[in-house]
Amino acid sequence: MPENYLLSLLIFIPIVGSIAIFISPIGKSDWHRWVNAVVVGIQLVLAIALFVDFDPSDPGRYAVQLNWFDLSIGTIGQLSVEYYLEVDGFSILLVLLSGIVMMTGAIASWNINKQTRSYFALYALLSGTVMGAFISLDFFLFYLFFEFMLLPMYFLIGLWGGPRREYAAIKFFLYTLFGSVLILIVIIGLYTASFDPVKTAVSANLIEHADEYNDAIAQKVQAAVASGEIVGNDLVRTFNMKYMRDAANYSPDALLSPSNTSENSGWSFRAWAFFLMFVGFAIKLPAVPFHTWLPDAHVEAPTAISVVLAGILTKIGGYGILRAGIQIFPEQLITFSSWLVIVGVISIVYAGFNALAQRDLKKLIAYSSILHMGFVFVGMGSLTVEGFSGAFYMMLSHGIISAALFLITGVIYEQTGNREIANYSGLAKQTPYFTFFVTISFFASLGLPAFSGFVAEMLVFLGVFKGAQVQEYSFLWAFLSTAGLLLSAAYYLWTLQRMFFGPSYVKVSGFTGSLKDISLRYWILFVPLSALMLLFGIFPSLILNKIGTAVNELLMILQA
Amino acid sequence: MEIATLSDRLEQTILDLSSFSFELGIIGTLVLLLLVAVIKPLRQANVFYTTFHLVSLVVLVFLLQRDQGVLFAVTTDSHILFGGMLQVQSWSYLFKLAYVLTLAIVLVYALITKDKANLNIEYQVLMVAILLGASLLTMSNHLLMVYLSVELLSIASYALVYFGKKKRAAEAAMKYLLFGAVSSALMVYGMSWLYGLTGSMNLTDPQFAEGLTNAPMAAVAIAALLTLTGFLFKIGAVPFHIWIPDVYQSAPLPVVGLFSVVPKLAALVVLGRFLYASDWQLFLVGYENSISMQEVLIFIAIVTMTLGNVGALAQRSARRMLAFSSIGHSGILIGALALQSHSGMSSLYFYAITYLLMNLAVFFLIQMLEKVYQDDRMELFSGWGERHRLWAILTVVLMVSLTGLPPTLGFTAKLLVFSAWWEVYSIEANSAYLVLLIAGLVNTVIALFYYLKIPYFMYFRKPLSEAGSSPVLLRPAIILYMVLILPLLYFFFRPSLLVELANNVTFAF
Repeated sequence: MPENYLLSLLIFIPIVGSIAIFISPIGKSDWHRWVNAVVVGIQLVLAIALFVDFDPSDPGRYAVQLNWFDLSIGTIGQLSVEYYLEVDGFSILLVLLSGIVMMTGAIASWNINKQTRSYFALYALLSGTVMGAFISLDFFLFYLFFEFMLLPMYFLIGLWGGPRREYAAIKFFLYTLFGSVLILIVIIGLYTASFDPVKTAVSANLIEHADEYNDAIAQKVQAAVASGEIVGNDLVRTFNMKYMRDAANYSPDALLSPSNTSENSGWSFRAWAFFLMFVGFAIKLPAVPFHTWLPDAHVEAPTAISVVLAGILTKIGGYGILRAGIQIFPEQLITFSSWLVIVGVISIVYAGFNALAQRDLKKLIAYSSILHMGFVFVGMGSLTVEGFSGAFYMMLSHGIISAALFLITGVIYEQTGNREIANYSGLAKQTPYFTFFVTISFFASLGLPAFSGFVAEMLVFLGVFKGAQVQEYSFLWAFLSTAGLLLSAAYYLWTLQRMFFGPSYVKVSGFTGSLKDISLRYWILFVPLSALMLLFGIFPSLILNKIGTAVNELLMILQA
Repeated sequence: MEIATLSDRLEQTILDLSSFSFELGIIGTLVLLLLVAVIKPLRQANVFYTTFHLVSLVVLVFLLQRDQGVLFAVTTDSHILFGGMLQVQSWSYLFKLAYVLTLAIVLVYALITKDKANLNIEYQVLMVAILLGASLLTMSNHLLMVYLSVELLSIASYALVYFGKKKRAAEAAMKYLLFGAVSSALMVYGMSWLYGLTGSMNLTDPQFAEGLTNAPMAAVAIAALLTLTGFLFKIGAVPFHIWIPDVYQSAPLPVVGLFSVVPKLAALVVLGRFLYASDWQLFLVGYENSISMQEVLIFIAIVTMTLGNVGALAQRSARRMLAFSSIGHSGILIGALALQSHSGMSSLYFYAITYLLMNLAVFFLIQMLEKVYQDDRMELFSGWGERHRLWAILTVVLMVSLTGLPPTLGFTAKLLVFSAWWEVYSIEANSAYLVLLIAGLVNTVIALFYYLKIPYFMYFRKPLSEAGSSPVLLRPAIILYMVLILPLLYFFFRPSLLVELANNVTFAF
């Protein structure tokens, strides 16, 4: 049954590759590169296969659910941790994106010559853990991957980065760790409140074996827990997100139980939990005002690591808030939705103006990333099918586009060691092919029709205006969000004008002559990325079909 | 006293001796070590003593088995020994096991590094005395016994610090002695108040608890806080932590390793007994309502973990940094103890075992550093990532675990402690526990900053020129280092064994 192993392979092939690189001799740089490219390539192929084969109506097809460990933890019951992987409408796009971006980064890393063994071992490890975070549906497992990816990232930025790499690396680590401890509080609150009906039924001797479990038993167990008949060690606490979705799977008196209405400082505990989780993921995303680590990290990180950071790592924040919001905290999502829109709009406007003011090309692109991630919050906060699909679409589209954008900075930086916009002019004459790809990427990012960015922004705008009629936020915010379109057009076109048109020169001390056009490696990277931008811009149904089930969940909570 | 009762008592005492074989064994080891030193004055004698000592520890584990039944099995019995002086409980066995384990690891340190000073016989005898003191303290049920064991621990500790034989060591030993003497005096003064208030010194005596509830609250507060001083001093909790950085900086490293675990755990346990002895309601000046002892401890826990972690931030000496970090860990342990619940205690034990492995590993690392460079500045780790690859990778795992991130045991331990705090908060709705939980989480982030320093130097800095050609680390050392660190990974994936160990006993005091 290959289906049973597919998800595990997505995680473990890169990890095995990482070990293989790690134990190989130190000087064999090519071997390290190739092993990394092969394992990440396999991961990409598997991710594509999974995407093509993914049937939204049958999401459990590839699920793996195994017992990891059970612990007895005192009066609140036992703790059960599962090795539970599954793809559904929430994660399928990100699995695909992760494959694409990690492969892009692997090829972009080809010119790394310093300590290749450590670099590629860490890179392959990162590929495995990022993928793991998207397909784990057990909070413990999710948190393991979510935290563990910080460590390779810390070293990748800190060892192979720019001049202030050490500062940027520790800042990145501290900020994101702060975000994850906020999430950890919520995870602790959730798992001590919810229970696993199947295992509880077994441990309370209602059934002999988990196979006998059915809906009737489920109701019996839930009723018994609600009435306090099953307590203590018979109660099996769970990290499983699937069980946390059902309000009946919570102990009624637990603080994070949906039926508990007690308050702390004016908010229910679930509202606090959602708030903490929101802040935690907003740091990762990042949204203003938690974004200050991102420009630093991007400026110092090597090109390939910037690609990975913008392309996929920040998307974990968006993914986490979408999944937790819709599946675990639906009421709170509805209560807070206007705030999501407001935070999103502030991110868009603030990051847009910041991008306009940047003199470093890479910093400009870093701020444009923050701007586009603002759309994820706006779309989600609108609580409409359009906005919600737009949020997903934006993550996929921006993942691909930002990968290309950071490669663009790499092309320039590799040759001159300088990214000041003012130092370059008339590059279109020096590097026509490069300019072609830059133009495509810039236009895709600012939302020109026929590119994926257009579909994403269109959906978000549709959603936010539609939502403004029924939600609590005013039209003003909806209008302000369109400023993102204007601002990004402004800074991209202005950059294009300054750097690529006009008199042809490069004013970097120690660099003479003109910029060389892109090498084969960049052709290999830019052609498929540009093709994907077009593909997803022209055939949005490719994507929208796959996330239909996740969108339906939103409809369901809105009706409830 | 009538002859009949006297003989009954004698008979009882002799009977009690049969569950006292572990401590008798320790005393036997102590005596044998001294005797062996007399009859076997060989050239290689130091190694011989240590090996002999190690073997005797194995025997001690068997004796412990004999006292308290079978390994990993539920033993709920608890019995009073020697007319209420001591109380053997199922869980005291777990702690004693931890002490023996620590001592054994510390001896292996000494064997591997072959430092003469760390192998000589007086030193070994003093270490055994610490084991005896800790084991008695764990079982103490009587204030006098508590005092006696604390002193036994302390006096041996003062002498051991001096074994650093450096000038600094003498200074640290003197500081330690002065602080220790003052805190002991305060403790004994507090105990005398307690005796005066209750008429009993037996912690499990109903008269003791009754006397405390009837006594004026302010008096109880004074007595309890004074008594607490002695325990907090041994644990190294704020505000009695000042000796820790100095002592940790100057004492021989095996001694530091021992200090960071054994007296700390023993004092925690006895603090737990003290806590459970009564429903302490203290009346403090400036408070309108009485506050409970738990709240006092929670406050101490928060301050301890925060000051410890913040203090560690600015350190350049690895020893001082780890001294502060161990203060930070004490805060979490006290916080777990303050819960007064089974989940609190089992998470405390889990944390303590994790802490034991991590701390001994990290002090062993410093020992290796000093063996090579005769110094403990963290810059000296520069370039280890290239020169000593295995050491460096294991160190990253260790530091990740000390911070409390997955996939290491440090994370599981923190998760369990935090969950226990959350559990009590959700039942009692006392926001002190929430503050404790938040402090614990924030401290995790602070801790990351300084724990990452060592990997930072190892990987981000070029080797120091003063170090000259690549120095060789001792070959067998890496094995011990692995033995200490690999469990941190293994038990993350399979924590059941450790948790069962803690869960199989009932933590009733």
